[in-house]
Amino acid sequence: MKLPEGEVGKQRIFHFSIVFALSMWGVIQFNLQHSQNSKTLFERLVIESLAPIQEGIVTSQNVFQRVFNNYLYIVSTRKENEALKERILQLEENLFKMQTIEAENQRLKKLLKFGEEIKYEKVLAQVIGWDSSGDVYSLRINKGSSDGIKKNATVINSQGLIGIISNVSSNYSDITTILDFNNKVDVLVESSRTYGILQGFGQRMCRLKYVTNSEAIEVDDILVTSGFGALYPKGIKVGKVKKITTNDYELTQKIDVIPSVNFSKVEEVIVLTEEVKTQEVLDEIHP
Amino acid sequence: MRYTPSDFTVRFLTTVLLLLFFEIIGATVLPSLFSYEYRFFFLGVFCIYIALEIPSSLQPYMLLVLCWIHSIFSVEGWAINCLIALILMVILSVIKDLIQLGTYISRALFYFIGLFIWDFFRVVIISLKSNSFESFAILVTDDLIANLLLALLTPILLLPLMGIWKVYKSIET
Repeated sequence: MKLPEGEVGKQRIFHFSIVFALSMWGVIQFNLQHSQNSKTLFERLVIESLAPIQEGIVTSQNVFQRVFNNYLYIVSTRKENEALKERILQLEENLFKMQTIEAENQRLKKLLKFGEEIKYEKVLAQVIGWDSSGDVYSLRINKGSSDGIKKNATVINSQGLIGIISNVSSNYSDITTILDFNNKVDVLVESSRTYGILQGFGQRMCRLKYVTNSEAIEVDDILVTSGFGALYPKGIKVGKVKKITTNDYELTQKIDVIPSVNFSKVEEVIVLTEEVKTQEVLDEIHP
Repeated sequence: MRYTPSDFTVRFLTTVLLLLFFEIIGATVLPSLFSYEYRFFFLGVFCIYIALEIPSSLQPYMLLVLCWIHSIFSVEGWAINCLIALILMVILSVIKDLIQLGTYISRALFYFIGLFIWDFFRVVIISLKSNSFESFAILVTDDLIANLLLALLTPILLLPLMGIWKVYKSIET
């Protein structure tokens, strides 16, 4: 390979070396546990500036879809009944709005009812964007530190565990999901109480690791969080065993897991912020 | 083509704004249209174009800024992407005189290969950092379809960039 020559060539090599050294330092510093990496104040300010645009686009999309569906329905109704056209237009428009509100209400009721069993302070948030990279499965939500959200807070919905808060700014937060290769979750199999570590494995699946061949696990077994590591509360549904592969020459089984959450349809999430202290516990702390 | 410092700055800032626009669309609009499974890596297209078409000693800094912009919309940070962009810049500087991107298909194919190599290096670095190559094959091939779709659209997506930098190469259909 021929190196660039002359003054310009030397400059190029110089600039390249600086940026290369900086990148190497950045890669060495970078922690694959995304929650350990902090965004600087400037980066948080930029996120605070740009995330409202994402939120606005999502809202506009929903409004446009509603208007378009309304238009199609209005056209077909007018053909059927001229005399009641205006009244039906009004009623159908109200009905569509009510149906949208009702569907959202049912979803939120389900979320709240699910959350009642978990003794944590809960913050409801809306998903406004996905991570730009293909390998990293993270979400952006429209709640941040001003709503009580902290780093490493657990994120769930009515279907189960979604992930963990990895970045927080004033009004927005990023969630690293359980699909991410670098996110590991302590889990146990509900039926056999076998412990293992769940890790994202690409193709939107997870793999349960460190389960010895002697452990009795079956397809369709449910996995829940074990509570170890003080990161995820105990008992949150994580996924279901899809496939088990054992080899005589290996000590552990290869267990493929389908997450319980349908990540293609996540619209609202619950962030668990602080554990609710019951009166008994409070009496112990402050006699 | 030579640029004056002020001209260069304006063109580069316009490029940054264009990348911001694509990143917002890619993170917000496209997942709802194509499902969350397909993520279009616009940063890769921008960096390959800069490395290939803009002859400047400041290329490394341009790539650094673009990778930092992308890191606002991703938790994976700027460093890994910046390192890969620099590696690709070196590779492209060697081969760019040997390649002809006159046709639509050749340009799309070239960018598809570039995006695949980018994914390959990213998975290598992540696997080295996590000390595990277990999911290597799956992670490398995970985004093949998204990259193929993006590569097929690249000759059209690059038109604004060509307009910004006034680097026009005829594309014969």
